[in-house]
Amino acid sequence: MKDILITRKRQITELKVWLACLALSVVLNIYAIIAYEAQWTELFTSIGFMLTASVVIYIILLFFRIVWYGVRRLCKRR
Amino acid sequence: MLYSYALWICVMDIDDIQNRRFFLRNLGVLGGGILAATSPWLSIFADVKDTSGERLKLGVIGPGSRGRFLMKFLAKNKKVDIVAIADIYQPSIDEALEIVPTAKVYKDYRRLLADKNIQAVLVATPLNTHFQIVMDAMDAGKHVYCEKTIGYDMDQCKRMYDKHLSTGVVFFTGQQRLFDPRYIKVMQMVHDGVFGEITKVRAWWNRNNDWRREVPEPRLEKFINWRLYKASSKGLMTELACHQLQVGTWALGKLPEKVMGHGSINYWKDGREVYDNISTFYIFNDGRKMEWGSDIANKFYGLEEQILGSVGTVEPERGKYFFEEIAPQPAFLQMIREWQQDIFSDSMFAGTSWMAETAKPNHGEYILGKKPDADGSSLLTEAFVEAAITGRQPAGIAEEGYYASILCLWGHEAICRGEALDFPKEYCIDYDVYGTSEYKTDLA
Ligand SMILES: NC(=O)c1ccc[n+]([C@@H]2O[C@H](COP(=O)([O-])OP(=O)(O)OC[C@H]3O[C@@H](n4cnc5c(N)ncnc54)[C@H](O)[C@@H]3O)[C@@H](O)[C@H]2O)c1
Repeated sequence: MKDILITRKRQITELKVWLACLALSVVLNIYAIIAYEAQWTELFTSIGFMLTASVVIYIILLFFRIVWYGVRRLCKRR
Repeated sequence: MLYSYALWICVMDIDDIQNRRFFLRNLGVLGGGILAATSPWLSIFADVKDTSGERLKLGVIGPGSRGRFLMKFLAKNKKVDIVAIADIYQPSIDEALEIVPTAKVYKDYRRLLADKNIQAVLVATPLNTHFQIVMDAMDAGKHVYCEKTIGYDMDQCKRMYDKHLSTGVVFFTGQQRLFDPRYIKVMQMVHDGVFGEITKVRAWWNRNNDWRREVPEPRLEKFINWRLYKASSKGLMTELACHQLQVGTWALGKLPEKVMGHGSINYWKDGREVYDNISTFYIFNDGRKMEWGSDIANKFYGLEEQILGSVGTVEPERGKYFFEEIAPQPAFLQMIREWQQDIFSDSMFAGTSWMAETAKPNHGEYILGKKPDADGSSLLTEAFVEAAITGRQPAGIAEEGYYASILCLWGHEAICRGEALDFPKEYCIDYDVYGTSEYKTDLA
């Protein structure tokens, strides 16, 4: 089996993508707190939900990114 | 206030008197706390007279299944000497002697009553035998603990209660919920208005078994399975309803003015004479209702008394209470749920008219901070011992037992007659908690 090498650059890129997902989750939580007239403490008490949501968004994004790279590669080959 | 209840100390180990006193002190009983109004009989535990070192000479009449259960508590109580037992069935005597090997054995309870040494008796015989035994015991000057239901009919109950008054002996009945910490605590909350206005009490006791006991020889069928025959029992009403109806009147603080009900034998058609399912309705003068039912062919909903208030619900058997308004879920989850509903739910049914009624998960709070693991039987026997030693009848204890018996027997009569019956005013006694002296004139 071949070793899969994840380059430092790739790691940094993925970390940035996940951080962006986390930021999006925080923004969504702020929106929800305002929309549902909840307490601002939920910014901290709902941290678990935000982390989970960021991972879910990251996985969804990853799926679309893989499809996007695949299509781009196919186009380049042609 | 809700927080103070929620933070109320978790139940402690009520294994010895020290702990019991500590427990009651925390409930506010010792030193004349507010509980005195809700459960006045608990005053028996107040430190009025030091009874340590005293020993009550007790006789047990009918040490069958319930009798022996209570004897196990009594045998551990340092203030009691079970000096004699009386029973007419040898296997019961043999099993009782395993608990109290030195007890004197009588085959005729009257000989036990003639023993001047005995100060008090515990009567745990079948329902139809209570009356004569209790009347004889009181005439003999013995303090009496009689298992519920106290009498076979309302007239017997009244005569037993009157005999207690005229002889002045201590009279307790087997209503252990009166001494169950979770009931005591929650009734205090109910009466303090923590659950808002109590609008209804709904109680049931369901089982899925034939309620029979094994009979060694056919001639003993009616003797062993006395619960199933009309001559010795009134079935589910006297055996089960008695406990739960008392919980209802305790919560509502009044007696109903009307009862109706129905009973039949639907499933256990095995020669029994008492109903295997019952539904009853007790109606109060302000329109509130107490429902009681029992079915012994389905146990899914088990046993419960639900006290329904405008702010909350109590389920004391589960040991829990629930408030109507519960903290909403975090905003983030609410938002996700709403998105999910928008995406997946059928718009035809997505209106809010039924959504609001859909029960939210509400896990409630334990009344005593933890799952209940005992009933009030141990404290009840201990209270009886204290009362018999001091000769001091605790307020309300005989009256609560009396009315519990009247309620179930009255309900039974309504079922048998197939009519809605008014409260029989001739069975009203003077008992302030239910304001029955006033009630008596109201009904007259
Ligand atoms: N408080 C409760 O939760 C509770 C629970 C169970 C039973 N009970 C009550 O306890 C009583 C007894 O029920 P049980 O289940 O123990 O019944 P049981 O049949 O197991 O015991 C009754 C005992 O009384 C004896 N007995 C019958 N007639 C007698 C007589 N004339 N003199 C002396 N002894 C006699 C029987 O031989 C038997 O040993 C009933 O009134 C029942 O309603 C109360």
